[in-house]
Amino acid sequence: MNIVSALKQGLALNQKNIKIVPLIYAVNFFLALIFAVPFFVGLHQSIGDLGVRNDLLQGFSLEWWSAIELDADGLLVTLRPALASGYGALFDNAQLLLTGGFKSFGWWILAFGVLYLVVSVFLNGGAIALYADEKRTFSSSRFFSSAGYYFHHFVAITATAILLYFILYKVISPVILNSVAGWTALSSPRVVWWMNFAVFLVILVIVLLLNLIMDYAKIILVVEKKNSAWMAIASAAKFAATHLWGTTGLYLLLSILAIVISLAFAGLLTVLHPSDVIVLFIVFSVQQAFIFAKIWMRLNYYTAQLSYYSDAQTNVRKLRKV
Amino acid sequence: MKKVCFIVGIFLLLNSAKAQIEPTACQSVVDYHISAKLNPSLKTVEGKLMLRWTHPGGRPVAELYFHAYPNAFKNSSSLLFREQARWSKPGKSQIEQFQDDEFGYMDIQSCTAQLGRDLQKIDLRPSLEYRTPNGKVDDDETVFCVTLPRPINAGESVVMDFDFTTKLPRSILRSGYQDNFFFVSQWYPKIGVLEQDLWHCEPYHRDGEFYANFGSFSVDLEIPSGYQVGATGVLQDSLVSDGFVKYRFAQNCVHDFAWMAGKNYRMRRHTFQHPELPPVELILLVQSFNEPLADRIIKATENALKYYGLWTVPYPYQNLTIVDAPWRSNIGGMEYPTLFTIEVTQENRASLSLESLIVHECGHQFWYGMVANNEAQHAWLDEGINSFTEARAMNAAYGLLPQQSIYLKLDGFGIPLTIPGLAYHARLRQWRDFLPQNGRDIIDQPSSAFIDHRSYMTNSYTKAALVMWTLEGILGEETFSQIIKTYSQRFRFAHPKPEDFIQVVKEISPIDLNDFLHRALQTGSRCDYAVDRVESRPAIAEKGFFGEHEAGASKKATADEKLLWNSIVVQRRGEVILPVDIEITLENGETIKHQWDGQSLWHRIEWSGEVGVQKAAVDPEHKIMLDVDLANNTRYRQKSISASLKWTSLWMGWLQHFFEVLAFFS
Ligand SMILES: [Zn+2]
Repeated sequence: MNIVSALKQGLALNQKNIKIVPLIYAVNFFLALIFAVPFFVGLHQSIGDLGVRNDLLQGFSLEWWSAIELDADGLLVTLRPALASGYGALFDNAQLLLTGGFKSFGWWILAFGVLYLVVSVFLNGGAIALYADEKRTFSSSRFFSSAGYYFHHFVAITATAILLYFILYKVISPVILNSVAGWTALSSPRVVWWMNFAVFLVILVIVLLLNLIMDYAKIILVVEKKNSAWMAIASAAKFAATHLWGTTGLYLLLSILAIVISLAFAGLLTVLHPSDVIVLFIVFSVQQAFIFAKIWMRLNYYTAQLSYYSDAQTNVRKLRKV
Repeated sequence: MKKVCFIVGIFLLLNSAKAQIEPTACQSVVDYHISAKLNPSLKTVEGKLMLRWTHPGGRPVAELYFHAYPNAFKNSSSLLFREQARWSKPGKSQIEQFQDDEFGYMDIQSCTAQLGRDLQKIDLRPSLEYRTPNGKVDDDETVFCVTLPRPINAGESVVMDFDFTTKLPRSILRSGYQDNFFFVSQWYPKIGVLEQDLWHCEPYHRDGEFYANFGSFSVDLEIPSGYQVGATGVLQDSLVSDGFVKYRFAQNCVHDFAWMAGKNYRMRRHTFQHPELPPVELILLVQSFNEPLADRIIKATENALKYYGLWTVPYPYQNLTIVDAPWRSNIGGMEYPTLFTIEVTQENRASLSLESLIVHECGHQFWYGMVANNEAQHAWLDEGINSFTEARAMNAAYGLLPQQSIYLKLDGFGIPLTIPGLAYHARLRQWRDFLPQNGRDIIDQPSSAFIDHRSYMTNSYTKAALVMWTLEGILGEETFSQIIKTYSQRFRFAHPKPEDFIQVVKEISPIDLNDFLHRALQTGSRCDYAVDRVESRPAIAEKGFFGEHEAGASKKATADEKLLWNSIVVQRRGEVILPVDIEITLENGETIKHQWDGQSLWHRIEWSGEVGVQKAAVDPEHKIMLDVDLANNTRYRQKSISASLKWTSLWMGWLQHFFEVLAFFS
């Protein structure tokens, strides 16, 4: 199966089980809302009657933010001028994926992020089980029972992944970056810049490859009804290696789609300057649509890769029968 | 001394601005003739110096003090290394990273003097002692003293000859070598400044710059071929012989001499021209890979020459050399007479920071080069006024600065995200830099006396610049421009002190600013004006007895029921006292302006009227840039949730993205 048909099949599969998307979205939305309420109260207390509220409504206020930034506690610190741009969140995300600096926004936000991660691990079990189901129709009881069924295996996969990522962020990348800094101590600024850029590119490739293997590990665990997470990871690594062009090509294709969608939304959000309530409502809606699309896109990785995997395995079985 | 300056001032005024001003009108205290030879493999400069020093006035002196600044890099006992270690993490100070052959020093092989008409040379080498005018500084050898056989009188000259070798350090601060690049500054025995019978000859501190008398320099440099060379002054001639090139540079009316030799450099020449200013030949020495930036560098230099020239005094020298020092050489952005250095980084080239740096360093040709205060004692006088002029020139030439966030920031790396629609005046960056340092130190003190390096920088540069912005805000642009112009004209080729600047302010300012200047410069006083309360409520209807106390004289509330009682309270939440504007905006859009002398701790404005208050602002135009809380300057009577809603929604979106990033690992 070529990767384009895998993507098409994956999109269709996602579409058939589309109810999973709003479910995950709701979790994301309400977890964020828990923070948004105190954030709003704090912000309103700070700027509700100040003249800087006009600057903040039109753009940003460095006069106000400079003092907030120095205070260095509470949620308001995480508000930055970069968030005025639709690209701000994307740059933040890319930085997090490349450096792993997840605690830079405070422990509370990280704690809830981890909670969301755990919930996502749980929901993934249900989602992949449904996708792999021959009948391929959404049923909430089957969804949740599968989620519960695969939970401990999926936790094991995620824990392994996190351990590997931790080694990457805390050991491998600092060593590479420090070596590059040493080698390029006397190089021109441009050379240093491109060398570091290359290092980050390599880190990105490792991050994505690891993610790709973990995706297949979950798929294999469900499809092949494996009983060990590590066996599933090993099979996934083997599958990715033996189907290197297909798996990476499909992952790349999915990533291009994800980037295009993200850039389109970010561009739209950058153009829209919410300065009155109606535009504000539109911006809010666009933003939520963005998150919705992001979750939908994350599930496309599973459905497309699952389609690719199933097809590859069917071919193998056919070959064996012949 | 001041008389001389006054004559210079008149001379300047009489000359048409366009005419080239030959800088010959300074009081020449020193006359240096140096011949020096660079040995690139040994990293040494062997030099012969002939110095004619003329006693500038006052009591006779027999002891002469000299800077031997290469000794700052000599060993771990130098003040520089000790002070640097104080601010560094254990094991991370530069001395600990130094290899044996990377240290620097100055050896004085011989030192003789000729007094008056005496032809006999007196050997002063035996009298040479490493000590400062204030005594010995432990093992630091950056200042030495020689004793003449007899005191010399005011107006009398002494001619001294030195044979010296300067071993250049690996460049960690302003001077030294990196690879094939040599930047040679503070490299020869430079005599201190005798002023009111006191010698000013500071040892080389980590923080703090330089001070010297004006005079003339004629310097012969012998450099192996294959190097591009740049130096203070005008190149008189160059001669090739035996694999060496001999250059002769000369300049009058300067107080220091620095030079560079580097391989892989390109030279660009360009003539700065402006209808109201004399032409200046710009010589840019740029590393070959930075050549694409040459136009930007030249344009920024021209902008500085233009605005500084128009606002202060025209640049008087024939040429100006710009040296693009290698990145990480720590030569830094630094000023020398008719020459300045810059360091191009990936970060500053990606924004207007490169232009800011150039405008600042070029600006020192005015504040330091010509108006030459003692930088070690009163750094703010040149750095502060220069930072102010820099921000003003940046704004005039480039407008508002765009707001950038830098991602994946490392030394030499970063991906900038320019925030659309967000741009600010250069002075706001200075204000943001000052904010965390508020109250930590006073501005007017010796550079080496600050609590730490950051405090020295912020107080001398940005806080002092904010004092200037505040003066401009309070006095108005026209009056403050006049102050800047008068100060620069009066102290061109002179050595002003803080009192001199304050005197000029006093002469021109229509209001008494003594207390403000004292608090701003000599104390860590806080400055904050705020609107504390804005109220409008229905006025109490007229009730009770009015006039004669008779039965039935009680008035009934009538049409007055609709009257509103309005009240505004503004506060001075700091010790800095300044007159401030108060602007009240009514619900119907009408504005009312008040002036408050700012003396008391608070001030109330009350009235009743038919229209309520919408908002009130104290110092609405942010004239007082020393105000540490600009956000509390404007307050509305009623709260509004729009801005909070907007930013909560943007922030919530950001948080949802953050959660999704974590789900990537699920
Ligand atoms: Zn400076």
